[in-house]
Amino acid sequence: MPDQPGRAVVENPANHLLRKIPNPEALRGVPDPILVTRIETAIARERATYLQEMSKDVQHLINLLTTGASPDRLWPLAHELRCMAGTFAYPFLTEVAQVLCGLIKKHQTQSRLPPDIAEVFAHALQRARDHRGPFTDKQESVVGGLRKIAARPVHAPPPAEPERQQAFLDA
Amino acid sequence: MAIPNLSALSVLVADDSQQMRRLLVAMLNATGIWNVTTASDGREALESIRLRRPDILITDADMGHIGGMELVRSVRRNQDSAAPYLPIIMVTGHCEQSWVEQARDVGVNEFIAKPISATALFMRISEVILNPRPFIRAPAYVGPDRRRRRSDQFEGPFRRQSDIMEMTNSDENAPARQDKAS
Repeated sequence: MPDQPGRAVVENPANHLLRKIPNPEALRGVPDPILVTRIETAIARERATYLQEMSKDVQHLINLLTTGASPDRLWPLAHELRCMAGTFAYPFLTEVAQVLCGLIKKHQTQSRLPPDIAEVFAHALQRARDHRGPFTDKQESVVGGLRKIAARPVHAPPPAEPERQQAFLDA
Repeated sequence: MAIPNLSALSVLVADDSQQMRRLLVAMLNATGIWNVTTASDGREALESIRLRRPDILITDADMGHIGGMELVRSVRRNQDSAAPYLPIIMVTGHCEQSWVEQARDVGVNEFIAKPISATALFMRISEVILNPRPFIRAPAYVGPDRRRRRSDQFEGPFRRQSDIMEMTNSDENAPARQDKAS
């Protein structure tokens, strides 16, 4: 609904937050390097902890995919993986999980993902988990292949071999 | 440079990912904010806002039950909202333009795209403290002013009564410009 002319009321609530900061001038501009280091150390600590859990989560998701788990069971893990891999800067895993999330949503009314497609994603997840380098054209090509497979209609026949090959990192 | 003393602030973190909640709490603690509570969905967050009245809400966009967008809409628009002016920072892995616009239009103050960095979090917190925008109540929008800058070159359309009054008081061309507002 578009705004109606002249109907907006503008309020200026008191800034209670500012009163709680004894040295608000320290908030201006870029943060103090000591503070940045402190926060980055906290991120690094969490990242290290997450690495171990990520490995377990990916394996759990692979197991679910290969055993024909329902989209309802796949979703929380795939969604969590996408968020956390993104947060801790694992771009390849993030992209694979992102495409998988879209695929799961698309099949949410089905009892399971098509086995051929689930297998492709299980394999891609495994490779993405073990990938520690930058996100290059090769990974982009794999993700592109996964996107094409995920874009297929829900009841489409299994993907042809060339499509599977691309997503299996053999392209 | 100096480190701001943020120890008197309280923050509510709403995210359905336990890992993400843990990370944000760790980052906030490192910033000097120790009074941090967490919620795993929008429903829990609304209850926490009612009970604890946090100073800032940091929320995920995409949560189960009541999601981030719905949470923000409830905080801003519900008749019985405990804190309609609450500064809200949205953190999300969705950085497409449509998500940013949706976040802006439900009344989010600041937006952080993942992966979240130390500087990004600090700058957004600083922004809501140092530069709170006026609060707008309109039929189609309730939340912080979506105009971050005021442009003298903007010629309309003018949709706020305050714009029209301001022009009437200060602008020699008010009649002509008022026409555009109507």
